Amino acid sequence: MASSINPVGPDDPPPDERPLQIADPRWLPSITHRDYFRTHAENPHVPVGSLGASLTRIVRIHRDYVYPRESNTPAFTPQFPGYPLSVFMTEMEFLDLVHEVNDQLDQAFYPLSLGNVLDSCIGFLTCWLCEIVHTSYHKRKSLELERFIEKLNEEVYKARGIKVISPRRTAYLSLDIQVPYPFIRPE
Amino acid sequence: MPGSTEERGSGPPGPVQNPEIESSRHHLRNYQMFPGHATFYLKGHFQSAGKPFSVLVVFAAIAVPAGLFFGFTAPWIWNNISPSLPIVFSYILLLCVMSLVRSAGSDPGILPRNIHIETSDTEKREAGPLNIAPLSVTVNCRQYDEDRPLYLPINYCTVCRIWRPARAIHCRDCDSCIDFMDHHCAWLNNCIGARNYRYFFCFILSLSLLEYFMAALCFLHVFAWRHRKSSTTSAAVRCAPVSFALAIYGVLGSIYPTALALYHIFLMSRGENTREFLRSRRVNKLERRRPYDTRNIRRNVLYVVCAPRRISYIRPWAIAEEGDRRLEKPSSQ
Repeated sequence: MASSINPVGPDDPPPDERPLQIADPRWLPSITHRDYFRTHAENPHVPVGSLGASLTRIVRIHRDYVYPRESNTPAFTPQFPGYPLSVFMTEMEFLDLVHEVNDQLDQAFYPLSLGNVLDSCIGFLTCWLCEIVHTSYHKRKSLELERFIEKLNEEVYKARGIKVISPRRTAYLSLDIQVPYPFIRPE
Repeated sequence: MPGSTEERGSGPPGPVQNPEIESSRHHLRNYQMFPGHATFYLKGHFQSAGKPFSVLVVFAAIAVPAGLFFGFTAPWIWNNISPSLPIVFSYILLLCVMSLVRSAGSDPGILPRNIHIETSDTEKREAGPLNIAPLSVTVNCRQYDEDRPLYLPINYCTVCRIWRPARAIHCRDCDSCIDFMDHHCAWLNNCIGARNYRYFFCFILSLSLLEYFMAALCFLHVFAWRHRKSSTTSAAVRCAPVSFALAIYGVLGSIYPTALALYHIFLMSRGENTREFLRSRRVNKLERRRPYDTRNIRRNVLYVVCAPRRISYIRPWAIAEEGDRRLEKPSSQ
């Protein structure tokens, strides 16, 4: 998986608009997961009282407000939450996952990208009629992210017993990783 | 489990014999299970917070003068001055009506419930001072001014049971947390939020433009008639009374939308919401902060205007999933 730890190039946006990197002095650690107190929580994505509710827990990766270049873009904090996720994933794999998700979200949500600007202009000029028939750039990119997560779940995470819940389901409020309870890797 | 079960017979639904016939009858849609105060129309594609009386009043205030315009002024202008002017008017009218429909009928960015369950009954039995999850967390946000550090409070909404993102607010009229909520518009009877805002802005802009254009064309009708027949103003008014009335209506009716449009342009250039602006009025002037202002007016405005229309989080028209806790009513806990 390609992850953009150092995205600087000739065509890149000005420093103010780039996502901040960990080595950047302006990047203050946005939150610690300890501030939200719980390292793992009840799984709300399964029906109450079902088998899944007692056998799984959710590790939540909360939203970060420093990382994205535009303040309304959802981005998840690349801080590794430690146990219990460390049983199932190394820190490098976690960072790759989070950076890739953040990159795709940035592509979908950034207002000044070409697809979004064109959608807005053409929508405005056609009195919003074109949106009835045309799938917007933003929606296409969001669905691409969904497919990416599904593919990742199928190929890599199913064997370890964990599952990344689709971000659309959680409305981009947090990146939920469903881990089996008790925290033992099925191997 | 929320939702009516009499259609499903006994027990959980098993494999369906004739999916084409039975799926449409048996499956509930998300809007039928929606826990907030909203009424849905056309199978969940349009919504309104309560009775849509004021939207119809607004629509009538636009459509009736436009109808009168097309009946009385437009033919004269088409024949005597230019056919392009009524065409431009109809284009602006279409833009205005479509923006009205989209901003008043669309889901403003309602956040689903029960995503972040903090205290559940099984955990409450061990509740002590350390086991109660905090209801507010302070996070850092991107610093544009190096000298004044800014922090954002992230609050937990106990009604919706989620950690609310930075610019989301729980609206009491809609009884839901709305992402990037601007304000609850009483005229349109809907919240203006992330998905709605550009339609709302387009609506007030096109409405003021429509009123100006209508006033201009009606005055043009009256004074051009006076010029061509070389007669007096009062004779012209007596000959085309509807046009003159429409012109006065246009002038008066453009005041409120223009004021709103200018106010929103002012807010957009500062990177603020209506709610954030009104809240900051209560704070001491030296302590007011604008954490989302990128210190560049053009960038601020473009960020809002070109922001994409997000996909709906709750999807009222979609078929409801079994045991979907995102739409649970709080009383069923």
